[in-house]
Amino acid sequence: MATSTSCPDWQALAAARDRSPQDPPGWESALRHLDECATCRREAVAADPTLAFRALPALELDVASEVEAMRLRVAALRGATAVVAPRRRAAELVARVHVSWRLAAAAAVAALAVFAGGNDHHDSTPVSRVAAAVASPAAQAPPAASPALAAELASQPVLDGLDKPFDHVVQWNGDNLSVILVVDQRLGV
Amino acid sequence: MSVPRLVYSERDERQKWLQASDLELLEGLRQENERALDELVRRKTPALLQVAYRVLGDLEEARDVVQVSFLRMWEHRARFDARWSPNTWIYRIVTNLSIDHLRSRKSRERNTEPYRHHLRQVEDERGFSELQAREVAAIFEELAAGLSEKQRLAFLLREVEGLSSQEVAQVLDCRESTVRNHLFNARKALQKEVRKRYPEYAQEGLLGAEVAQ
Repeated sequence: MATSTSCPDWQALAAARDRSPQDPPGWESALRHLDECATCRREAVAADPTLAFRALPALELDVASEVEAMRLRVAALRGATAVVAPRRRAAELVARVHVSWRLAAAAAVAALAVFAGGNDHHDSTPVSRVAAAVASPAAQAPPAASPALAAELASQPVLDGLDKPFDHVVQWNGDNLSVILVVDQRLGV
Repeated sequence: MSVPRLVYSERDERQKWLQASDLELLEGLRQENERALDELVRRKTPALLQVAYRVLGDLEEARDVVQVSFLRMWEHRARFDARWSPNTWIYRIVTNLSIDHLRSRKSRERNTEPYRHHLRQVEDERGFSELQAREVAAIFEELAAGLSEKQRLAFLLREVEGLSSQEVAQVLDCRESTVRNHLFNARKALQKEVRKRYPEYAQEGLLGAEVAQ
């Protein structure tokens, strides 16, 4: 096979590599040349058959589905690990519950906007009592500070999957009321 | 009422991590940011599957190892040292778990069984170049199974995946000179086996020539 004048002497390079663990001078540039020069590949591989393994074909993967499957697997494994190792995870779980509670509070305020139809804090329906309590400064404290409220929220989930990521959270601030709208990606907006 | 204010956007958050460097992702992991983990999974899954598959020779086992590797990255996120290359840390976790998995595998016959017969059976069903490329990969899997773990990993990471000797030394937790010795011995063993088991390829250089087409 004819080789370009710039092609390395693969026999000499391979012989040098056979003598010592140290790569011979010019080896890296020879490899870069090999990756782009199909004409000297045959000679290079004949001199050192292991050079063929530089061009191993990639796995045939459906990358998008592999990635999504892996994301779900990792999430599931993280959840399972959290269940089987409660002591080690205690601090993380506490933090997560705390975040979830805050999101629950936000959702409860959104429920106020939907069900109560304004800023009437004197309505005595359960929903508006919960929402009014959440919107008040005292509601910003952790659940331990108001166990009755926490129990009511826990007994009546206001939004499914509160620990899942949300697409958007929008906040309106009024004089006496803040409305926080949580827009889940499942709504398709 | 004030003008509505966007407090949080999942899309913006994803976009932010999409543009982050590997180092920034690992920093995000250290801060317990789950979006950073999601992006790391998106970015690294294909490459890590390749490496684990090359070590294990089984895609489903490779998936298991990569899954556990991501969990390990999350659990050990505080241990990442920013002076390291992110890839070095990640590859180290994957290769160590792959080796652990390999050791725990009860039977290795499946790995060392020659592929030639099977490949010849499917020769008529596929294009020659594609078959040749697959055959090279199969030959590598077959022959690499005869190397020691360190030789196999050194060769895989340096010669196949293209990491530098320094990076391989960090992944394998040894000196660069040790990596060079592993490579030297791996190359000798592979050359000997290719020439012995597949002389037609070694003599005519077909092993690489067809793959390049």
